[in-house]
Amino acid sequence: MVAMKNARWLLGWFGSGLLIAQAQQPLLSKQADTWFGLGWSSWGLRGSAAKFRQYATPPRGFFLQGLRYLHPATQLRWQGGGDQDTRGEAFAHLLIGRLTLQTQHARSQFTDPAGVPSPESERHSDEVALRYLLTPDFALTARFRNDTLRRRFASTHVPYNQVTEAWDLTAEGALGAGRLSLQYTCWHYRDRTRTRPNLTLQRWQTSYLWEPTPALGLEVSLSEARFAQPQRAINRLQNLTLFTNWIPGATTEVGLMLQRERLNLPVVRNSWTRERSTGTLSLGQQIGTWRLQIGIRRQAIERWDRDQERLEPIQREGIELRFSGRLNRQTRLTLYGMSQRWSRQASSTPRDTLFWSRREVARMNLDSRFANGFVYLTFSHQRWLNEARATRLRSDQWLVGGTYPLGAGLSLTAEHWVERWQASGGVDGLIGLPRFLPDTRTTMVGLQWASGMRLSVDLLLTHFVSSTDNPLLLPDGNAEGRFMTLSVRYLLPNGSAWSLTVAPWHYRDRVDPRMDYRLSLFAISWSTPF
Amino acid sequence: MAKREQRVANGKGRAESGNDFCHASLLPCLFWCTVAGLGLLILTAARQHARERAFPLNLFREAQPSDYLGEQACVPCHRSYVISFRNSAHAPYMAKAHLPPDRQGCEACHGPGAIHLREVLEPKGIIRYSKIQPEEVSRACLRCHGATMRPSQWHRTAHAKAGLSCLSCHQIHQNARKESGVTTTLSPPLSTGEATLSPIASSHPLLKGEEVALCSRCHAREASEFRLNFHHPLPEGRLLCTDCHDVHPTREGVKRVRLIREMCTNCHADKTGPFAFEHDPAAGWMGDSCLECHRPHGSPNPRMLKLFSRGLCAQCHTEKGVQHYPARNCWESGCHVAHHGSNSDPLFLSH
Repeated sequence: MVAMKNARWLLGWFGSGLLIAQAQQPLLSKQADTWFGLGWSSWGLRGSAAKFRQYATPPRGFFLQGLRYLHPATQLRWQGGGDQDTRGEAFAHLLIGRLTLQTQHARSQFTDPAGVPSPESERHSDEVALRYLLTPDFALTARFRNDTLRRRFASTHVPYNQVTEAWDLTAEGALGAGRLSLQYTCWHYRDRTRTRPNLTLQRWQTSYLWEPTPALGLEVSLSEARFAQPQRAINRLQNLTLFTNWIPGATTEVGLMLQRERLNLPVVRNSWTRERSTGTLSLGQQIGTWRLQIGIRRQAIERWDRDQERLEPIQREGIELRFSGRLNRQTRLTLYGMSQRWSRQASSTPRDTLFWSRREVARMNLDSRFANGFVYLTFSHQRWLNEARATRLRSDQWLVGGTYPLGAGLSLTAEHWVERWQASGGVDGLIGLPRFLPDTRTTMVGLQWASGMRLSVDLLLTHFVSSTDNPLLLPDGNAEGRFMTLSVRYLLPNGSAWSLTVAPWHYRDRVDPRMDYRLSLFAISWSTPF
Repeated sequence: MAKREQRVANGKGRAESGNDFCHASLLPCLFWCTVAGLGLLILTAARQHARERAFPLNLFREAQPSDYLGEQACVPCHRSYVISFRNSAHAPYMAKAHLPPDRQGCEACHGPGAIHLREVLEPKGIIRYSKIQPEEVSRACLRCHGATMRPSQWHRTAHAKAGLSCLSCHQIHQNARKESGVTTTLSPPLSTGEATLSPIASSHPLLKGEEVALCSRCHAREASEFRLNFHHPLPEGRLLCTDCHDVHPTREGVKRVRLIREMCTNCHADKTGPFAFEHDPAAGWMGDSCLECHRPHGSPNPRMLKLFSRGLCAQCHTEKGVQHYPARNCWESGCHVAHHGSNSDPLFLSH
């Protein structure tokens, strides 16, 4: 003991000595990371451009890969200037770190996946947010977001041409032995096609969390929302929620949530929920290196029937179990189960037996790390039952994958995913439920190779197959994709880098060949710090 | 026994029987003794637990102003860490003279330097984040991040329940992201390392890696679903996981607005309603709302549906068999075009 004290004293003295000797040495200044990239690409596309451009439009010809300025206090990014798809972001700390400004602009063009040429759709969003720290623990936030969507379909679907604008003002932070949050939101939805009614939503929310001891927390949250549509009655929603967390010991945790939501929806002319009360009780217990969590949930719903003549009481109950821990130092196992059922069903009309009366979920995750490698296995089982209609639906998913170092800068990544569906009950026959179940298989193999700090090569192969009986011979039900992406990057001594991407992709629809496409993408880009 | 039941049924009973009288006076006593015992137990456990939970915040409570030596004092032994911290996104908040000394520089996170220098070998004399428990990490971080959430709000999250801490996802010193080698292996689109052709949403600078790759390290099953034929455009870089998932449960104020139904209506605003004729699964008060029909991460079916084509409707509307116009999908046939809810037709035949 005496030796330990002496050692501490000596180390303390030594540290003080170093402090005196080196305190005058200057630290390195803050470094900014500025980066600029240009590129050229060719699609080499044959077949359905609409399917290829389902989510994004990669650049063709010359493009701006990016312009970036990163500094701890300021960040600016711009990608894809001049292309159909662009994105810009700015982030800055102002007023000695008290004020944070964040803006974002994004524009993307895409198409409805179809076998015939599809009209172009466009979405752009702009967002700006200001956050001011009144004290280190209390912040005021204002945010505005504009989201414009012009979407057109290959089918008879009514197009979208809509604008959504949202304002929200928030004051939140530590207050007394707890945390206060006040929020106001104003949200406008405008449909330029005049197909759907415009909507203005206003919401007020307040919550306070009280923590009398570090082991106990009580939070009350109250909100009211008001929905206004032109020439229609006002709709309202009130929400009152109580959260409780209690940690009675180092290994035990108890949580309770009580929530009551009351709605008044005078515009609705068929069935609607007037009140919903939810209670959740959870218990977590640490048992050695394992953790057991049990939760029970009860939901009571009161809703108007289809003809709005009488109120129906409905009740749903559920239980959840989670057991997780380590089999050994490297291997983790998690088991999860959930069962939910209606304990009181609405019974005024046969339509109400439409709901699943029982839902069950079972999951298992197993992952293990070994010398620089990682493997994982996941199983998921879901079951839905409608006992009144004797309908059952079941889905099983298996996933196995991992990363393995092959040596000398070379590593292998692989993953295989299988999903199977089963159904019984309902109307059988040519177009019965079992004829529309999608079975899927996905395989991915990746190779990464790095030669020193200069050269890196990434190769990624993805193959997926989905199949159904597809009695109506519709597109997208029986599809196969083979995607290969090879990327080579070479870093020059001055910090600039050349990248080459070659991507032969092949998508095939076995029912509707008009959906097929073949892509031979070639892209080259150059980037440099400055 | 039968006579006793008869007395109880007649509303007489209790006062007439000596044994019942004893029960009548004993039961409340037993009840209150149990309550008092439980209360005592809870109080004792809470005090014991409060003592156990003292570290690491006790370092700040017990420190004198002179115990804070400033960032320069850390340089002689931890020079590289000080430099990497100064280049991190955390630094601008903590390098200002107007802040109290316990909120500045290295000592704001690691505790007062003088205590560390006095007791260098004492593990509880300094906060070493790689050595302490996840709960202790979270308590230390939330000491300053009161505007984000409090410890009991953190305990409600699934991540806390899975034994994670703030440092499972966040980095404080710069360059950990590059060193960790966290990159995505989601194949489409054309994004491999720096050779990204599509504009992608950038991750928060304090995260350990690119957000999608970071989340997929634990959520492998969900990440795999993004490889399916129809998915939300995460691999294309149009979205991030946190655009839908609230990792910090109290941050909705600084995120996008949240409406009554699901977070889905933030982007799919036309589904907000209320409609004159509601479709129960889409209305969202009786079941799993949008998830009754859609798989948000990805699906082999168009529109990210759970089942293919008419199978989706047939799972509930089992009575709609072969007689019910089996030409195409129920909605693409031009019939039930307003299946999310209609303002004009109870059968959702028009908007």
